[in-house]
Amino acid sequence: MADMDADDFENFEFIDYTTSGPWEKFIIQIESCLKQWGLVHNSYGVFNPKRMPATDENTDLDQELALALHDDNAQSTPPPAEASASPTSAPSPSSWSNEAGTTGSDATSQDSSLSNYQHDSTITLDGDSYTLSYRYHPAKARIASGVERVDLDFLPTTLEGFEHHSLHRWTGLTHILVLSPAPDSTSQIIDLGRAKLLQSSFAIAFQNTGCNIPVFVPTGQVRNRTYTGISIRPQHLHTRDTDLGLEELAEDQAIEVRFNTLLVPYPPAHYTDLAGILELFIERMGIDDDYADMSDEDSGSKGGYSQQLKEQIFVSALFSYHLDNWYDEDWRQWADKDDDTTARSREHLPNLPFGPVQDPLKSIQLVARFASAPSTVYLDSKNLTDMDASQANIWILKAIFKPDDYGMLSVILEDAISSWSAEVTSLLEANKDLESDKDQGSYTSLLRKGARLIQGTIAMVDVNDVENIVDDLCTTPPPSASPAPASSQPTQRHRTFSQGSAGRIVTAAELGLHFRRATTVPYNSFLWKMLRHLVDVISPNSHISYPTSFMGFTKAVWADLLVQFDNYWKRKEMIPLIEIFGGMTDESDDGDNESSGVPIKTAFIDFRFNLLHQKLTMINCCIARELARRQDDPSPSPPTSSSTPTSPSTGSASEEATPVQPKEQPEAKGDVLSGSSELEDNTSKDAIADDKARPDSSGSTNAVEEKSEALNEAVGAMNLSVCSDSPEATKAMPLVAHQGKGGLKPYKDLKLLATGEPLMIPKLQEQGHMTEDMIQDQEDLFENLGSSADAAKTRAELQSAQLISDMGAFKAANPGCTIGDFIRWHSPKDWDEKKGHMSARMADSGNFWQELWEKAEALPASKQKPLFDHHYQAERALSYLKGLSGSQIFVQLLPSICLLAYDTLTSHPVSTVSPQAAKAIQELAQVLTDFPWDELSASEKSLDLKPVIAKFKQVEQTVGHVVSLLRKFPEQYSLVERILKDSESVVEDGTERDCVFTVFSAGGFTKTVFPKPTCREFVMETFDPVSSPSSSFVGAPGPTFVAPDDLTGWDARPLQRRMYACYKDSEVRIVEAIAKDGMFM
Amino acid sequence: MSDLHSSSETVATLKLLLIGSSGTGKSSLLMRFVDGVFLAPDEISATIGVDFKVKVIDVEGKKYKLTIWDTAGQERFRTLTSSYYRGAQVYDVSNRDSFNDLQTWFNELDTYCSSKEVVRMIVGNKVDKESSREVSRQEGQEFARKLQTLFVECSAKTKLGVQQAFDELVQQIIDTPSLWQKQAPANVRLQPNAETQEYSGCAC
Repeated sequence: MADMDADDFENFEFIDYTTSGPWEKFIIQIESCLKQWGLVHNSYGVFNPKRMPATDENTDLDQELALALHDDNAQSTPPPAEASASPTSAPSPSSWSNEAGTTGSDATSQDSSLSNYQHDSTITLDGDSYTLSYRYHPAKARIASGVERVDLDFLPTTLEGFEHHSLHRWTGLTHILVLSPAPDSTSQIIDLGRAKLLQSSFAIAFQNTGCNIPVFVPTGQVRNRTYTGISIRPQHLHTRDTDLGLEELAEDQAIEVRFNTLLVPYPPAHYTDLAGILELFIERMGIDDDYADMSDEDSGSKGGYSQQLKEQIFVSALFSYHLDNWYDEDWRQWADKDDDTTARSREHLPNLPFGPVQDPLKSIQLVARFASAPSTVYLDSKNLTDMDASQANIWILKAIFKPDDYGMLSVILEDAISSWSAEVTSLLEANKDLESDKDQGSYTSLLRKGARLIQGTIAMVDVNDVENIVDDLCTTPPPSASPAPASSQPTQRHRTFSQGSAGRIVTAAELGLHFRRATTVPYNSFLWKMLRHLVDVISPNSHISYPTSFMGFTKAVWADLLVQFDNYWKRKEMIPLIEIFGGMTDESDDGDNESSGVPIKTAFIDFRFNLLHQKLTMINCCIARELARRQDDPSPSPPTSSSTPTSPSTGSASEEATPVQPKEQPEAKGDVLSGSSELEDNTSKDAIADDKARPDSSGSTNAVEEKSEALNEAVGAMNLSVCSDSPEATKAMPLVAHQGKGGLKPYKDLKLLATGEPLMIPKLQEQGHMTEDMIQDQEDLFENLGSSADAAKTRAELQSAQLISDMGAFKAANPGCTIGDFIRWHSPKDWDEKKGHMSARMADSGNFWQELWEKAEALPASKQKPLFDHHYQAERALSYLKGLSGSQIFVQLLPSICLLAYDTLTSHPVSTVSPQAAKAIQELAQVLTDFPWDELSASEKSLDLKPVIAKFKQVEQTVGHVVSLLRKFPEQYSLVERILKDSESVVEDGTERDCVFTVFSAGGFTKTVFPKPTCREFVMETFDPVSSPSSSFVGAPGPTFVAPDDLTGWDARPLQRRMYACYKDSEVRIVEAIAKDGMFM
Repeated sequence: MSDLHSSSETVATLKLLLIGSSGTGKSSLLMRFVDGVFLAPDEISATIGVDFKVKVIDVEGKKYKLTIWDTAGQERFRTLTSSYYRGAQVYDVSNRDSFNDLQTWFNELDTYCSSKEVVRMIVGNKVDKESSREVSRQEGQEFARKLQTLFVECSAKTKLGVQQAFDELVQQIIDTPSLWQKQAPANVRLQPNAETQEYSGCAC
């Protein structure tokens, strides 16, 4: 003791700290917390509703100080008795020195903000540390700002996804302090005695600071969540804006409110109805004392109280009904008139499933709210009750969905993509292994390889299934070889979206055109349908039950289709669903053009779609060309056939050879062009075929002398002809001149300069077709020539074939014509009508046009060597298709697969009725538009497709939710929309309410009556009229749905008494608040 | 200056395309820009099919290689040239028709250009022929605004606005990284802006 005294003395010298006991210390800690939060003089401090949401001014928890405090706790372990020790008793010096150092900063440093609605701070008493948290429920502020309708009697425990403390709901208070044992504290249970002590500390602190926020202390088992609490409210409040925390009043005389929690398991039947707990309320609150006279009167009547008394007690109630979703196999069935139209447009093609497999709805919850009213209004007793849901004023419906559901559509996409990446990986690794195997032929690497093979490249495929798909694709009637009438447009689904503000949903057909850089196939085209079948194979709904992989199946189907393409070409039959007149997309202006000017429509390859589709279009263009040629000229073989390398394909003799023959050139091209993998070169190149093909192709088409061999080859492959090559070909033909052959019609009223004959427009050779890769090759070739004048000349020569052909045809049609005549027709701007001569540039002696004019032989277009060798080009296109690896095909098809999935979602009528679903789909469309599809590469999967799949999953879930809810509440679009938006919604009177009622009374397994409430909550309130008069103060948590003015008749200052009772799971929780005048201490 | 700089230090190769009616001076414009000389459209042989010139330019200290493709304006060459519409745009202020044809050229571009992200510019050429002007500057601007394209008037003959036209175009392309970083071609359309210019030019 002497030592301690000595220490004390020493310490007192430099510590200016006069309070001594741990209890006092504790109170000071509380006060500093309260001050820090601004809870002084009846203020709401940091949670002033007027300033919420305010900036977070809290300093972070200072680690050092926290540590110091912790040390302090460890050292000072005084017995509990010391808590009540007088301030003068000597504390342990070491602990004091520590505490003195920390206490001052406690207030500023011990606070850590957990959220916008909670401030926490740690305080200690006798070595037990507690967490004091100041919690705020924004309900009132939200109402004030008109955000929403919140039930003030039953504050929602979750708001905007934030979990608020249950005490808010139980007490109806928006601002509370909660003291609880710190998480690291040894004992989580506060016994009653301790609780009293703690509360007394707060009572003192409240008095000192003028804080009017109640504090709650848990007692008993944690899981019971029972609390006692206290608040000190100052007297003399004039106004009702206590909410606003502006009162600055004397705290000398105050009202003390005590809170208490009772948790009663299996309450006596007597107390389970309103009548019962009303009696309980009256008893508990000691109201009978105040109504002494009345209770005397009523004492005779059994258990009853006077009407008058009961009228002064206000009751509000909340009944919750819970309906577990029942199993509904047809949950996704859509009860809508539009249904059959979509069914028709889908034809026989398999439908892709989307959304979760099972109904995503877990349960629905209905909350029936009985507004605050005098207790006599409601009748609820043992035998009789009118408090059932149908009588409630307000219904709130809430839908609970199963978390993180599985999305069938996104899983299909995932499957498809993973089967591709597995293949890419296994091929890459196989290549690597080939290299590394030489030095490292270990057993494990063999195993790995084996595993990969099984995983990546082997898939089960039933030949019949493949055949079925191919048959289906090939049985569609082929498109016509001549421009089709506008009626050939595919089923066009017009979407009339009622909510104009929400914007339009882009159809899949249109969205395809917005994909980055021409990476899709046309809606409902051949490849589109193929994908529909292929994707269906891996869909859970597929009739194909064995496990297979998308890649495996694709390759099998593709192999079959290649044979089919070959056959189409051999039979000169158009491949179905490959439009060569660009009619596949539903563009309105396109249709107009078609009807007005049919003859203008020429076959062309649409560069807005991917190369695969372009190649198929090329084949069809070639077939159309051949068909047209046959029509014009019924003789079996064209005059020029002998000079084209691929012409044997028309005859039957060398049919086996043809597929191989043209393989060499295009493939080499393709590789350079698309930068496709080397592995492709290694695996599929056929050296023998190369050797065979070379002499054939180089020897025939390009009989050009002065150009290098390499250039020739490239030029030949590109549908270019060198000018000098034309006369040579025509020499073989009999010269037919000066007879006006091949003229179509006179051009304007022009007369030939020399002869005065009408100037005839000749029939010209139809122009050739090119696919994107061919153009690219040509461009590269041109670029490689360089930018010199010579190169420019060469380029002009390379492109002059068509001009020569035109000139030849013109000459044939207009015997005796001159180049001037030709220019007048071909390039009118180069002819000066007034002066009657050509422009300077044309008239120039060295002009290239004149040179060409000299070369051109008069020959009608039909007799000329074709500019476009459709036989050769068709074979090239076919061999391009054959040369594609599975991975390359997949890369070309992936964007369309996503488009297909998008179509599945937009095709569902739900997007027309639900703005939520529509919005989700629009977002998806944006994601798909922004995705860099053009960067997909066949050899590496560097592109991250996860965001796309994630978006798909999100959208299909949203759509699934809408579908599921609309199935439960048919045609209640508005209600469903509100529920989806905020997870719960007030049910409007009328059809909405009827519909919900029907669901609850007919729903579930019982299918008979409205279910019993799973939870009943009551709030009873009254104000003690007896206490001293003068103020019309109404307690902050006044009844919500009754204007406080209704209570102004009460002359006395009302002392609030409130009881919350909740019946749930065969137990009752009662939280009572009893106000007492004056300080009890 | 162009050829000297076409070294390997270029940041990117940008592809520009000139399209427009025949005789509007696409080739003249190109020659003026690249070679710094002027030849009236009458003096340059009519383009057959497509041709190109290369120029390296400096933008913000970085070198960009421009591959400028010139196309034939004649109707008959349309199929040959249309395949290149995957990349700039010019017109003639002295020729009403060439201006009226602009819409057609844009339609072509829409059909044949597979990329949706194309920088387009309308160039009104031959502003030197102010006396025979048939398309007012305002008209050109209106049209460009309607089609949401860049717009510039220039004269290949006097050099006025030529550099500016290409600079603006290149700047726009550079500001749209997705166009060139992935080697996607940029389209520039040349439309003959000056209506009267061509006529008068030819006449002289």
